[in-house]
Amino acid sequence: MKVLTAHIRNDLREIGTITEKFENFAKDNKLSQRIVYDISLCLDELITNIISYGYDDKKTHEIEVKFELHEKELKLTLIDDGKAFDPTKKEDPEHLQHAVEDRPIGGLGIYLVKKLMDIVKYKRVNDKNILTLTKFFKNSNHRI
Amino acid sequence: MEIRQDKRGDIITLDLVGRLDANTSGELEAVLIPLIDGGEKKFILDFSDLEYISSAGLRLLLLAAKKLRNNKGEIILCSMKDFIKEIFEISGFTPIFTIVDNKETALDKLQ
Repeated sequence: MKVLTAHIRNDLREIGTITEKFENFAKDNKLSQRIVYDISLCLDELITNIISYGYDDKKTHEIEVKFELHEKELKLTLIDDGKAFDPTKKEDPEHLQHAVEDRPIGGLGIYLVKKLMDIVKYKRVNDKNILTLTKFFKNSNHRI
Repeated sequence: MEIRQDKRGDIITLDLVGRLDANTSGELEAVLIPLIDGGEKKFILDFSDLEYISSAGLRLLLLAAKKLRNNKGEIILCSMKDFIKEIFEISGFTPIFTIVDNKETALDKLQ
């Protein structure tokens, strides 16, 4: 098992930093472009949510991001000290089939994460949100 | 991101280069929305060099589609990479937009 752990600040510019770290980790471990895309998108959506909606104060907070690469899956864990928020409880948007006039703008980020990842688990421990996401490598195309 | 703008007749083409995410969707918004509000009705967005799109980018495209629907305008997306097409499908965006393989087909449809 290969592990990459990083800590970022609650600043939207940090998303680029963590994405780059993950891309290097993926390259070293020969993960396919497809896996990199799906994971980068999930990182982007989730961290954007935490930073945009998770904090009531203007202080600096730390978010821990951990990647665990196993033979047949990649596990991603996000730990933040923001407000309690369980994305698994968030209902999927009901408007996916609606015509363009009726579709509300937004609400797609977490839905995309749930669709792209195979398992999403949430727990609140010691005033921290711990979100664990797993992506299974279903066939051989996860490596280059 | 880089946005290359071109006008042929009454058709405006925007080539999107790079990433369309929370950081960059404002750049496209600043170009696209004033054109729509200014009365332009025919748009092609070329995704050949678009490497990434997140929900922030999708949100902007939906906003543009809504505005154009009200103005009786049209927007066509072309040359979309497979993984971006899949994001469109998951999001339920495929029926909202006309998506074609290349710019020539898009131009034919709008002329």
